[in-house]
Amino acid sequence: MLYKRVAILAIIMLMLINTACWDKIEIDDRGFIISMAIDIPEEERETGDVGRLRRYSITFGMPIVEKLVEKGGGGEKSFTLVTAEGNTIFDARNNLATRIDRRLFFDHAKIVIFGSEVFKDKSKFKELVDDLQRDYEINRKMFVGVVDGKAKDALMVDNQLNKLVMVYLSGIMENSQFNANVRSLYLDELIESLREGGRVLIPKIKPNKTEVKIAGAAIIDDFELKGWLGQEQNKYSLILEKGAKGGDVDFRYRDIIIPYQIYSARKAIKYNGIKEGKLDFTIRIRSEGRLREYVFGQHLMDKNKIDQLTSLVNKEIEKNCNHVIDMYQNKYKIDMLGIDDYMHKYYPKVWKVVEKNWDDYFCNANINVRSDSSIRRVGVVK
Amino acid sequence: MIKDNDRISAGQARTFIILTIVGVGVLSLPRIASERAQSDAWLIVIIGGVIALSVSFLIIKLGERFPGDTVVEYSQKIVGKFIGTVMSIYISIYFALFCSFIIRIFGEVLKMYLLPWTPIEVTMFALLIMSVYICRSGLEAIARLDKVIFPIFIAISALFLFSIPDMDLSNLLPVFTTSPVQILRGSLDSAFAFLGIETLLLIFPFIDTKQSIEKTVFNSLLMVILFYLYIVVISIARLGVSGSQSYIWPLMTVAKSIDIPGVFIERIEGVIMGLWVFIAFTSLITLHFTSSLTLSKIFKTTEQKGFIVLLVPFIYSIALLPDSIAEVYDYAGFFSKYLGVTASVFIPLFLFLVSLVRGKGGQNAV
Repeated sequence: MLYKRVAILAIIMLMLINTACWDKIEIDDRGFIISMAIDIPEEERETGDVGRLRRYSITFGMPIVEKLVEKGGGGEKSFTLVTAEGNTIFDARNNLATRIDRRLFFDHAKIVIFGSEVFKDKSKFKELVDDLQRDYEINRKMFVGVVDGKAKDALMVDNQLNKLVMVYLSGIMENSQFNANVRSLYLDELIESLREGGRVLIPKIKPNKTEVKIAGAAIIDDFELKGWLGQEQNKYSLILEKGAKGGDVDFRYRDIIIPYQIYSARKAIKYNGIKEGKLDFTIRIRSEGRLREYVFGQHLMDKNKIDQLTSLVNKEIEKNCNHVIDMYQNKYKIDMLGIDDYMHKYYPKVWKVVEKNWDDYFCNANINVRSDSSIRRVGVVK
Repeated sequence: MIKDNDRISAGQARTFIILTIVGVGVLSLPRIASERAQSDAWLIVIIGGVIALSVSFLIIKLGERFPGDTVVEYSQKIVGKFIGTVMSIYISIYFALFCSFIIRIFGEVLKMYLLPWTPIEVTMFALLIMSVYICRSGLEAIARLDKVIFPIFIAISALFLFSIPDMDLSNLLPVFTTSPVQILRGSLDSAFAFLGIETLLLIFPFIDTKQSIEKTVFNSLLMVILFYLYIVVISIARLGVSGSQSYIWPLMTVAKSIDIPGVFIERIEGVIMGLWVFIAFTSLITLHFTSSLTLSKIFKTTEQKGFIVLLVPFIYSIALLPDSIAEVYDYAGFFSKYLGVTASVFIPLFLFLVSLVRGKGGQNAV
């Protein structure tokens, strides 16, 4: 009996010893990549190695876990940047592996930044995006940004409030929930919108030595960089695309300027059929908000005055939205407002006719903006 | 011949049927359905479900004419010994092939998402060995295991609710733009997701008849249809039609994009993946069991345990045949469209019609 027990115990012990796991990697052997900045090197050079080209130069940001733990550390940098060049993203990763003693992990990547030169060659951007969507490891909930110039610069920023620059960048993008000035874009949103004609607006990151500014956006059409949106254009474009939260509208009343803070703005497109040979749309923007400032000593608790101010807010929003629409229709000649999507979903029969030359139809279409704002509150002063 | 401990109750039968049908097909269903019918993909699920329902009723009606018999016995009574045996052998091979597909797709998914450096041969073999162990314990053990695993199935479904904040239900528009012919063909293509119902051909006599079997089967199939609708709607609303078409397993991508606000947990798909192993496993064991049961009935042996082990080399080597993931799904399409439909629609229909014409079974048999 005892013999039997010993035998069973021995077998169990043997199993413990012999159990192998191919995929076991200890946590301190992992190198977590939390950011990637993708650039094109100055010149595409061959290295003399077998068929090896240097087409991308990718800067990976990795936290130094030891330094993150001891928080009192102070002014020291708690992450490191490594640049690797390669034929593809994967090649660059493998080149990096020849210099780093850890296994690279992309599960917790927070942000990927493209340098504007990536868009010079259509096929390169396509390659990059496909690499990002095909890899099972890549965190699909990471933010995407574009730098006008070198993407690496955005990671070199030495910010005093947040030493971890990747967390700093993604923190700003998370603020977009409360501020329509900032656009945020997740990797999965990028991938899904590129699927339809390679068209997307990517937030623009403008770095300098100590901080970045995330405002405006890059206009990507057919995988090419077509232009840039400024901060205000970006805000109204955002409202027209999908509505927004936060953000402010400044308008002039007599000789003062009053800021109207938007709590939430929603948009609704309506197709009115064909008028005078043109497609006719109405975009209604319904916003709610409060007034932030007025004149000291004068009061706002007056329904008539609020009605008067509301109509001024509406005018201001309509004016700015029309500016953005005009820009898309006449300058860039592309539909960034999602009207194609709306037509496809709600008017499939009309869509079948206009689908092929949609951009022409869009540029000639009549798009009216109707703003319907409500000033709900005026602050704590009468 | 039916041993007492091999009876399964109506409640067990319900979970048994649900977990047999829901298997590896669920991961690719949103892709196949949206490829065939764009935003009308949900229609494919409903029509596929209705077809599965009518097939199951046909099988029940057929079984009721020959109480206590499985397809092996009554096919011989209906169309003669030779053709009946050929049919039974076909069904047995079909179930074994089905097992091969399950373990191969299972291995592929695991390799992609969970264990990239583990050889696929090992994960597949591990699953198959587990299946042998459960199958040797008999039908009742399988039914009980299904009962235990059912809450896990519910848990997985619930985890997908976290993707609601990112969903855009307008992706399901426009409706009814696909032609009916395309929808019908599409539901044939997505039959892989509904296959498994034909195990009733063999399991039928083991189900306790205290409650009406029609009702049990109807309830469980309704649940499957609702689950598939839920999956397809979530996938299209989350990824869009073109997104659902582009991923091999859209459901895993949805799982990967889940982000629970305010919670530290990232990458919830590891959890879903781990739980999904059970779902794949439950359909594997039923099919493995029925395949060996058919063989043992053909050869009229008293025990079927030997056949369970005998099938392993066959299932395993077939599973290793396809060269690439593309080939796996090519074969799977062919398999479900032709072999699957033959086993689950044509054979029962043929047997049923012949038994009507020849007046076999039913009242005459008694």
